[in-house]
Amino acid sequence: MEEKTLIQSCIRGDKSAQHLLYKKFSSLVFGICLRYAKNRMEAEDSMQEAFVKIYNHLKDYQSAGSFEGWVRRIAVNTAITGYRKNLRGRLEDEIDDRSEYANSLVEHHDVEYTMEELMICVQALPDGYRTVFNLYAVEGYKHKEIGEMLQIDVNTSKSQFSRAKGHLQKALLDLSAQKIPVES
Amino acid sequence: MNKVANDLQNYAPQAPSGMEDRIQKALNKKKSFWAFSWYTMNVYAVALIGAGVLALVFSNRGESRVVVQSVAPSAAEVKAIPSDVADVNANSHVILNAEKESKSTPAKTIRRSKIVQGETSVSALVVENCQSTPIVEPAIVEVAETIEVQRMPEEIQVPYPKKEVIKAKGRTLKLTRFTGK
Repeated sequence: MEEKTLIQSCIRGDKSAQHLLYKKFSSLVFGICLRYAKNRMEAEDSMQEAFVKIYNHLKDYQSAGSFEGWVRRIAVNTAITGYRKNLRGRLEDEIDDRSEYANSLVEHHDVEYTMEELMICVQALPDGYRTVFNLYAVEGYKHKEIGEMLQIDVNTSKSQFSRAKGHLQKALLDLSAQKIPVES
Repeated sequence: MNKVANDLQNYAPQAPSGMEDRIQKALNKKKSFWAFSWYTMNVYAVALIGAGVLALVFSNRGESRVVVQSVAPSAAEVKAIPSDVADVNANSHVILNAEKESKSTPAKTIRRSKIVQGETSVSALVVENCQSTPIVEPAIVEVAETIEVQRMPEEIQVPYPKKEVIKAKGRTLKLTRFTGK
């Protein structure tokens, strides 16, 4: 079934078309939700909300851009909305521990990890760091755009990304350090 | 770090099982609130019928209360009937004039008056004691056999009857009530 036909069927409420759409994009949406969420449960909630939005706003989709990009944007926006909702409670996590990770900002190209391990490291990041890291490094947004989206200063976005990178590198180094004795 | 970002971007794990049903449930739940559905219509219909039955029950209760209240004054009315008799007694001099008495028609009569008058023949007493006066047959022949209680729209305040003793010539005679046409 063509993408356009699939969308039109979904708009009409065709259950089989909705099933096809879910099959096609569920992995993509779940991957995005897992990256922005703290744990799997939170990711599932976010995924549910994202798909409900997708089904309800299909009629608003303009054929100008790619449909996959549109779906991705809805999933990211849903994750950001969730982050904003709990922003007040999460501010306590934003502790300035730059000194701790200042020396760890070294590129390590030969760190081996699985995707599950990488995801655990990303989810272990503080909420603000994780969101900025995902938006900047993975989605490709500019710091100015991130500042507007999260309603934070551009410099805050930059510093949070820097700290997120440091956290992640250290977590990956620790992971590889744990692996070495096991392998030897 | 670019490798990490690239890996994360392409990461697409399998969605958990049962997620699709969960999404469909959430979708239907959201739709049913805004859009038309027979389920919500049934709920509304049941609620409307229930409200109608309740309204009917309460309105019936209100009517029964009104009936109780409207019955109460009629009982009071029956008790107040002696006042009519008293009016007749007050104008008892009419007894001596049959023509005038015939004109005085009491509004209501009761059976009790007959019982009281049936014990003694008032006319005989009058004849015995009032020699100089002409003999007049009292017009209290017909007594209403039935009590007609009319439902009054409002409670009528009737003054309590004044007892008057009629002093006839010779012996005193106390007339309690006279009725009749």
